[in-house]
Amino acid sequence: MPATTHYRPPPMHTNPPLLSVRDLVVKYRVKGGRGGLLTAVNGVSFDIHAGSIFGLVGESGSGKTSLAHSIMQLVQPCAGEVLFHGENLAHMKQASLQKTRRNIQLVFQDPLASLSPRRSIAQTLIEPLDHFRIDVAGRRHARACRALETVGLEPDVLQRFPHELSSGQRQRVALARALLPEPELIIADEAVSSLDVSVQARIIELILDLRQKRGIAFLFIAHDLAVIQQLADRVGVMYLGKMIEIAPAHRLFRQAAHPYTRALLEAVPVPDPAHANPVVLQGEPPSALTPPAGCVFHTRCPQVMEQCRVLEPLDSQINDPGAKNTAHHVWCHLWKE
Amino acid sequence: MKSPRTLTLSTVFANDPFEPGPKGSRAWYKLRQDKSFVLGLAIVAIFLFLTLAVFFGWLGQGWSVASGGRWEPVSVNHWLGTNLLGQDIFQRAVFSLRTAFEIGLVVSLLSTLLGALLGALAGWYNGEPGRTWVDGGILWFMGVLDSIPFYLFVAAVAYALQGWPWAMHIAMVATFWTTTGRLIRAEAMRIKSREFVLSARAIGLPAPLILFRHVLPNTLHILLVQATISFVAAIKTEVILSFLGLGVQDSVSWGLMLAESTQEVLAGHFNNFLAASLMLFMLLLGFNLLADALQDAFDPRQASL
Amino acid sequence: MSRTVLSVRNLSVSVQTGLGLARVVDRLSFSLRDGEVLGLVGESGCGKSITAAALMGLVPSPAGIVTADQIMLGDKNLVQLDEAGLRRVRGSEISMIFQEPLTALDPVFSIGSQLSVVIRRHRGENRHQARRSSVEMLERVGMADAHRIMQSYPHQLSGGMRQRVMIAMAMACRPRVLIADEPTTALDVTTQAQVLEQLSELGQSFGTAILLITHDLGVVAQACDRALIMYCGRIVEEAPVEALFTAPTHPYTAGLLAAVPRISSSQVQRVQAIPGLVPHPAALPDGCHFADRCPRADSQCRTLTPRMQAVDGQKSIHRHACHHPLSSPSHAH
Repeated sequence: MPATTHYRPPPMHTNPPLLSVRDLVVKYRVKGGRGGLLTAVNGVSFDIHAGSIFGLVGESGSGKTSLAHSIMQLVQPCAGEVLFHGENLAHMKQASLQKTRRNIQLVFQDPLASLSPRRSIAQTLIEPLDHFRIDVAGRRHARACRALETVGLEPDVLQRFPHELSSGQRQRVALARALLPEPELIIADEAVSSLDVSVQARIIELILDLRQKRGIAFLFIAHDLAVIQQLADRVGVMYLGKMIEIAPAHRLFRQAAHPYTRALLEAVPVPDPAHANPVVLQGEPPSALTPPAGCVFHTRCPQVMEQCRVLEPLDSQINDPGAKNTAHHVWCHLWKE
Repeated sequence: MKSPRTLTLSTVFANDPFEPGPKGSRAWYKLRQDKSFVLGLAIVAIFLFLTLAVFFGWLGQGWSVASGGRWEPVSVNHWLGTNLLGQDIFQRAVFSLRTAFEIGLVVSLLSTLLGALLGALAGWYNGEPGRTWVDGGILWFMGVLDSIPFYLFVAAVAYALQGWPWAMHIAMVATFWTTTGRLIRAEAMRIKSREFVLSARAIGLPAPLILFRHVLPNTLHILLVQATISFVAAIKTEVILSFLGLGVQDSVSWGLMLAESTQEVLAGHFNNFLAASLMLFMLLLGFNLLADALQDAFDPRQASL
Repeated sequence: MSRTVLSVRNLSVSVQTGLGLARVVDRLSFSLRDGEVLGLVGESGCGKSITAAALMGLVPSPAGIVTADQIMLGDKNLVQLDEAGLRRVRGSEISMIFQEPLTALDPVFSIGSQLSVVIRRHRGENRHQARRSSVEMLERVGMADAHRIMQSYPHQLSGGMRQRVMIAMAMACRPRVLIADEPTTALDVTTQAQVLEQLSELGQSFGTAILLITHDLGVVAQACDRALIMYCGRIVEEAPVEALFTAPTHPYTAGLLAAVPRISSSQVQRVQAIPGLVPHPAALPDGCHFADRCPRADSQCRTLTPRMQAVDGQKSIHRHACHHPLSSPSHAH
């Protein structure tokens, strides 16, 4: 009998959040054709508290990967700020930025592409240790072995090359590499999306274990709501560069407020033939180059109203919790206060 | 009933999960089965051996000595006869091997290296806000070099640096590197967006380190093929330069022999011409076979199912 | 009992890998019936995509060997056809759509010209007729602005639209069998539902049987009538979809179902991983390939290869290859 978990609301955090994103805007210049600016992230705000898992959901074109990259300062945001322990990452000096880089680690979707093909696993794992000057040079190899053990791999993997491992093993190496600097936050961008279902289950178990034993916070980005439900304490839903709903996980899956979230929940294919999958959402998502005016979702919304075409919805908080991290926010005219 | 017919399918796993050894071993596996590779390698190996023999002084040392009469026929003393000045054709042809390899190696290694470095820099800084001038500048420079008619430019540089033994080499390196440069630039741009590079940037590794450790090693397949091709191109260019009188000065090369032989052929003596052109043909054939086989073996486009 | 439109007996594919000759498909036998949607389900490396390619006789090139007793499409045995014969059959009687339509469509030709070419080749229509048929097909697959799509190029369309174009091209000649290799894997979840519905609706009205290859059990539940579960080149269970999900008999099927995360509005069920690793195809263990990972395996499983047999009382509808099958309704939920 598989274990079932009753939802408990996450502990009330009165401490300030670990990571705070405020009104982040990320734009790219589009080459060729008529050119122009692509607004990948259009004013997104959310918080992640230490030791919690924040699930970020969105389909392709929602801007979630650009968000992850801009948090890591791989791409400079055009506006807004990213605060880590209250400090703005964009204004940090080199030394503090380096320390922050140690504390936030990234795991990507494609395990084969995220490991350097011509370097052995040992070289790949020791690279962050050397770069961040963690521990004494002589002990770094042992650390790498221990990291492999934590993710359930044998030390003999160290001599192998990425193409010699299965995708599940590679993804575990990527996780081991992310663990080595002992970060406080790991950003996992579609980290399990390209894995087989049984391997995915193993990585999910691993992430939960890491959160429990080491208190590492996760920003878990995915398009699969079922996977998100396995992991997240708090969930944010993005559409076309905007955050349209943020809620504690148990509330999102029980009482989703935004029509898009509801449509997403209905569209997830259920491994149960008796369950009919209604096609709720018609049409194609609009191009991110020319986003719709007003609410970005209004062109496909089954409950669209006149004001949705013109006015951008503002943040509404629809419950009344004690702590900030159990608040349920939605950006929708249906829920205007 | 007919027996079941067998079809064939191409290699199944593009990402073979448990292939032992570094990635190169799959390419070598393919290479070993490629007949043209084996043939090319054999030819080049023989020539290399002969070159070493010349280098160590066992063969071809008498290339400048007028040891016989004019236009002597093939004999035991002169395996391929003698030329206009009574020099032994065989000795000259074999010594020219050393010249050929020297030019080929120097030009191919230096031009490939230069192309790799500048190409990687250009590709890396392409699209980087604030630093696009690096890419722009290198591209502009490549464009300028490429727009000058090739032999004209090589000849002009060789002429200007005349007298200096390395004039010809410099001229060739200066023009050959752009091809490699463009290829590496394109590949660097492709590799730059791959996630293992993003990982390196995410932990804050500086750009030169990422280029040398992560980007360039993944372009080795291109560099190997380019080096082979430019080796061949260098030798062929030397032939033309020799015809223009801008080739080797105090040595002998096939180009020089061919240039000399134009007059001899008119007088009905073909040995010089045949010796030089046959040797040239064989060496270039060997290297071309190698280059083709290497290109096929490292072709990343394997059909996957 | 409806007619069998595709019958495969003892299909095997071997390829040379770095570790030796690997049997990636091992004596596969199954039948596809008229008008049904049959799912071929398995994780990566199980051999499902290679099976599809082998059925189409695709991509000949050294390193692989395909053998089969028969691949009967109606009354033609595909195994006995030469390349010319196969070309005639491909597209008109048996066609295929792939996972990533961006690479399957030629980027320098418009949708209209690519679609028309297919129609003209197999239906022998002239240019004008073919264009009209193309527009019809595009409307048939649910494209609202068919005329504009005809003029567009592949890169101008979204993933879902490209996939629908692929379906239009594959179905234009009303083939008897359509092989769909992971058609929705690269699509968003909201588009996936649309495309799957389109596919089954077309199959129904054109009378085309569909072999749907996927790793996603949700897709199987939504779109398939019957399913074959593959592991390491072999079919381990074959059943109508309801039976497969409510009462799977093979431990691997049960393991897969337990590993799939399901959205729940109340209690979250933790997914359970299947222990162990998939063996390398060149180093497959004797007997049942799943034995090392199976909680019910014993010494018999490691020496004797289980053969496909009917689950008791089900005649030949529900079959499995297992020495110790699960007999009671699965505890997977």
